[in-house]
Amino acid sequence: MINYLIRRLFQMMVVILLSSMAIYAIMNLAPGGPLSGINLGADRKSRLSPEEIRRIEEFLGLHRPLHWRYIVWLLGEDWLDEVGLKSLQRTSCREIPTECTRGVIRFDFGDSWRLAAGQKVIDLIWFRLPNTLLLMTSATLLSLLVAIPIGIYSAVRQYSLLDYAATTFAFFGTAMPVFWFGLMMIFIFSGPRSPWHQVLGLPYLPTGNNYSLRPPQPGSLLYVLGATPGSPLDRAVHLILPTIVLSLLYMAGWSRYTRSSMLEVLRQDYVRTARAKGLVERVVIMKHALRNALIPIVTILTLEIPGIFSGAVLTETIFNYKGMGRLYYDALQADDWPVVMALLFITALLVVFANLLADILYTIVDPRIRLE
Amino acid sequence: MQRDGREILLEVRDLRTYFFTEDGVVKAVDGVSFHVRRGEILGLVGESGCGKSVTSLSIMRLITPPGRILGGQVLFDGIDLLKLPEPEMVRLRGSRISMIFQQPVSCLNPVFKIGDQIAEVFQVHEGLSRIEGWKRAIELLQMVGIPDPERRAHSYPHELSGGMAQRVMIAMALALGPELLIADEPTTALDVTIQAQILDLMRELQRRMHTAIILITHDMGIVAEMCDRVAVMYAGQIIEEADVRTIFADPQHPYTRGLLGSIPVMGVVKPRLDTIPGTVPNLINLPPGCRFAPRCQARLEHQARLGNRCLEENPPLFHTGPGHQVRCWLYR
Repeated sequence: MINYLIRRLFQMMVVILLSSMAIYAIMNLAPGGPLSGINLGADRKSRLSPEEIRRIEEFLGLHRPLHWRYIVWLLGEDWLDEVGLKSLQRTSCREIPTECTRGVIRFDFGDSWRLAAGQKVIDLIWFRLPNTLLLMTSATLLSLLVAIPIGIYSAVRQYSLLDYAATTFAFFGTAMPVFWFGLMMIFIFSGPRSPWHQVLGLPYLPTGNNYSLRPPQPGSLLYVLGATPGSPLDRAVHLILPTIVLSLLYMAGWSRYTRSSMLEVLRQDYVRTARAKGLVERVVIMKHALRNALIPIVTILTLEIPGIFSGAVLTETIFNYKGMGRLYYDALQADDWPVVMALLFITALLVVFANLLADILYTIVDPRIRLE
Repeated sequence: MQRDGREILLEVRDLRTYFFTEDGVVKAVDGVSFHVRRGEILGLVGESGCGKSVTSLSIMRLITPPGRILGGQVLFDGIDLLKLPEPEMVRLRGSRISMIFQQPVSCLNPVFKIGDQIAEVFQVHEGLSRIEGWKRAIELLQMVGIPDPERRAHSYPHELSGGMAQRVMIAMALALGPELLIADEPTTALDVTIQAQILDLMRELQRRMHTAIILITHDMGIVAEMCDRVAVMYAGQIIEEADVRTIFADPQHPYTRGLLGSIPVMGVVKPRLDTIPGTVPNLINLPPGCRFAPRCQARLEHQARLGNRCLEENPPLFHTGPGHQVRCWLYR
């Protein structure tokens, strides 16, 4: 087991290193870049001279050749003068040693270029992370809570009316695009002009954002509940729609996983043994069958962990929800490479660790598996 | 309920279990009748697919869709199991009637310790706590000859050999001293030496606990060694029934004779073992007459006497001796 873990950790480092190289290269070799549009729409007076552009490039570290850009991103630039590569350091680093970047290996993801220019990327992430964790965990929990019972029922009563209904729902859930479904939900439930409020006279929901900035308007759910802007209740109400949209999407998948896993298990000999022992059907299903059917589910769930951190790009964008997904979208739009790289790198890290965790969990939930 | 001395424990009458598949109705069990007396071992013999397992699962009422029990009676100690409400049937399973199966390792739940799986029987039927049940489980493991039972109880099924797993299954089945044990090919998946051990164990426990056994097998050697009486099944019906001596001394149905002819005999040199030509009929489209007629050599030999009757009319069971019945027109 210990040997296995050591071997795995070594493999993981190699995988993370290679994947970071790949994403860094793709990012930097893609056409465009942070300075490509800098003079667009500028008149003669505000146009930047090539000299000025070169200075900006130097400040951002873009003057270095690609491989040195990557090495500095990974290891930092503070050590370059000690190995005689002072020319690769930026002027600001050379003049003020505390301005030198220290590289992701020392948890320095650099400063944001555009989104929050000058701010540390890591601070940006710390600020967004709780929002995403809140959204993703509530969506995951809600979807599991609904999908697992549906999946069990669909398997136990295969081809029943409810099974067909669940199947149809699952296809709908997987097939519909979130950006469309999210908009439909906003259209139906959000704002004073929504049919939900206009036709049915029910309190409407906020259209987006994480919390309100102004006191709630009469007729809104926030007003009915008396939520003060920024309070936990206010945030919870803002979570309702994005959570529903996301969990409907997840539910579709989870209910199918549970159904097929359960169907597989129900065919097994030990389920017949459990019945022959004199167990009531409920115990046969909920103990003997479900315990086995959940083994693959636990693994898939573990592999979802990176998603819980990196957020839901589309849903967060549609609902203007300030989480990691929205941050990623905005950073891409703004060519804010340090932010994009940090998010991709953290996701790669989490994917690799989640895989290890899934393998370890597997040995716990399934006594037949041993790591060698 | 006396017949030939000992009390009848189980009587199956005209049992019919069909499977409603997309290809048609499979008449897996079609009018099966037999009985088992207290403490006796009845062998249920036949080729694969002749309905032996479906018969036993029907007795336990463990037939799952698309299968359905369409008719007949299963009288256990005078109660018709087919009419019993499900909660009472559940109480009967594992306490008064138990079952063991062909693939012992896959019949045990892979994620629970075997101690827990045996203890569960006591928890469910006798309301014992897990710890009490575990104690009884260890006693049972000892009884079925598993060495170091305290440690073994903590094993998971995949850590056991096939023989060990079948011992665990037997322990679980006999935990509450059932009156009837249905053993569905209990040794087919095991090595020959292990087969003998398991059969010895079953016979020893059967004598001690006075349990009646329905032993399902296709191995006439096991029948000779274990059984008091034999019922031979073919294509969903019983075609011959007799006590074990009679079957071997005087097999009457051409199929039974064929089965016995296909066993190698010590000291007799044959270039090839005898086989029964042809295959088991498709249970969806059964021939109208005797189900064995298309493969029957005797029918051709006795054509003059029987005419075409075998192909037109399915024979009933004819009594040919004390406790000896044959479903064949030759014995009319």
